[in-house]
Amino acid sequence: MAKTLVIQPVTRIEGHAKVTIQLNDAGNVDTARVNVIELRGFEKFCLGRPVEDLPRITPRICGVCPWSHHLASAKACDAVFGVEPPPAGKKLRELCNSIAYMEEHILHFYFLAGADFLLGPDADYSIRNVIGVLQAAPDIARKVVKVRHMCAHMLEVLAGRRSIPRPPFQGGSASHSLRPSATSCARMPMRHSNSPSSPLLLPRRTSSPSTSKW
Amino acid sequence: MAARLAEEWFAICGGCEVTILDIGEPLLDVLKQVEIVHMPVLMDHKLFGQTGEGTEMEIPAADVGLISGGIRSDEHKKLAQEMRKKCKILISLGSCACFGGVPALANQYSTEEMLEKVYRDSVTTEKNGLPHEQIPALTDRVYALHEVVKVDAYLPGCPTTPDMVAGALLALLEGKPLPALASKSVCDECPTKREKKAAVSTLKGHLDPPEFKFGAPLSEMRCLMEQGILCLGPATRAGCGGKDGNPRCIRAYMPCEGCFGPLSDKANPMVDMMGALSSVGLDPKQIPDRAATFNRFAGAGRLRPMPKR
Repeated sequence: MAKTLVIQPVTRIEGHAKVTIQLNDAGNVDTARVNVIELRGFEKFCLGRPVEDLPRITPRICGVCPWSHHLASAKACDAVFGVEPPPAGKKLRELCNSIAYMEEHILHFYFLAGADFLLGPDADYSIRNVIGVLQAAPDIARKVVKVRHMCAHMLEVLAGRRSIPRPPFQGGSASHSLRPSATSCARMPMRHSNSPSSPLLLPRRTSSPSTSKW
Repeated sequence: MAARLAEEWFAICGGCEVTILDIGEPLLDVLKQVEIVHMPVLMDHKLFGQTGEGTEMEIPAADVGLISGGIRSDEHKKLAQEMRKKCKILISLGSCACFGGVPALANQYSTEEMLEKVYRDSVTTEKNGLPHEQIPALTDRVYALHEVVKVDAYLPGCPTTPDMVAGALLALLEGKPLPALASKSVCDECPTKREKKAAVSTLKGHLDPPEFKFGAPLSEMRCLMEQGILCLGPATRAGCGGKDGNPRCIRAYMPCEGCFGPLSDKANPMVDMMGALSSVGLDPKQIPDRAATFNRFAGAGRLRPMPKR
């Protein structure tokens, strides 16, 4: 008899998905589909926002990897304004990105996906998770929790908070751990002085769009 | 006996779930006292049974239910109701569940406008039909969790703070009442110096740096709003500072962006902020997108599509 199986949700990822499998009368797979069942509409509501605002909004696309979204947006804004961060600002961004890279990979492997490899895909779901890892290898688990927390703390010191960062902005970085004058661009072209009524009207370019790494 | 915990997430980014991990080492002790029965971010429990043969979404009974994210689809609504049915205590985790959060900025547009942009009208998309097979229908707007089911406690913030999550979980484990939310505003906790009159006549740009002496205590910095930097402190609930006490963005010399949400369910941040700006002598009309700026995290029930011009 034909039958539909719904494997929902796909777990331990950020994002909502399910797998729908259609079985035919012989009990064989007819179709199998991955359905993404989430839509928030960033594509729509980012339009019309002041462009400087986007590095604050885009990290909310994914709380597991907010820094990637944040820095991509900050770089896009650099290009829009035609400004380039001073060396200290660039280094701060790179430092934060590197710490976030460590933090996110520990998070992904040990907290989310790792249990499938460490405890095997056939283990019961009630054990096949971070708590199961904690029981199977308490020393590793303790170390992992500690190191991830250290990374999060470093980001907090450098950037105010770990997830949903605020500091890097067009042309540099705001940071309470370093002198702002050393990290932020000398003078940003400001939209209020140019055009109070049109948030997306861009100021005149001061140089060609940045093509450098950060 | 270990307390049973269920967690579900709707229209979110997952940042609040990561914040639970930010509790650090004390988390290991909390986890020992908790039995997680459903939590898509950490555990592979499936809603339609592990082999997908079930017909109704099912969540095991739990003592405490955490829900993050606003309601964006019919399925979220059903799941929220299922969580309410199975959990003795239901907690809104993070600003998205409490007041819609950033995804509720979409409430400025109709669902049809949003779908059109996402699936048909963007430069990199082929103009095909809208996806409709095997996916839940979207609701007409983003709803906060308490607009759909009864909620027992709120942990606001974008993301919420590890201190608050730890405080709530420990209180629940010890059978104590949950710590109450601050009734004060961010300004009431802010240590900066206020002179009740702005030092400038026009608002500064988004990214103009504030003036402060490096290394000096925050109490020697002039209020950011009085420096002409838009700060949502007056219309935002306090509590983000945790043990330190000082608001976390102010600590990084950045203005408050309102992530802890309005002071009460009935508060109108737009009116409050217009008043606060005017009272120090700044013109709120200088801000081009007031509705979205002042309700950035509180769009559920507060932002709605603009009438067509």
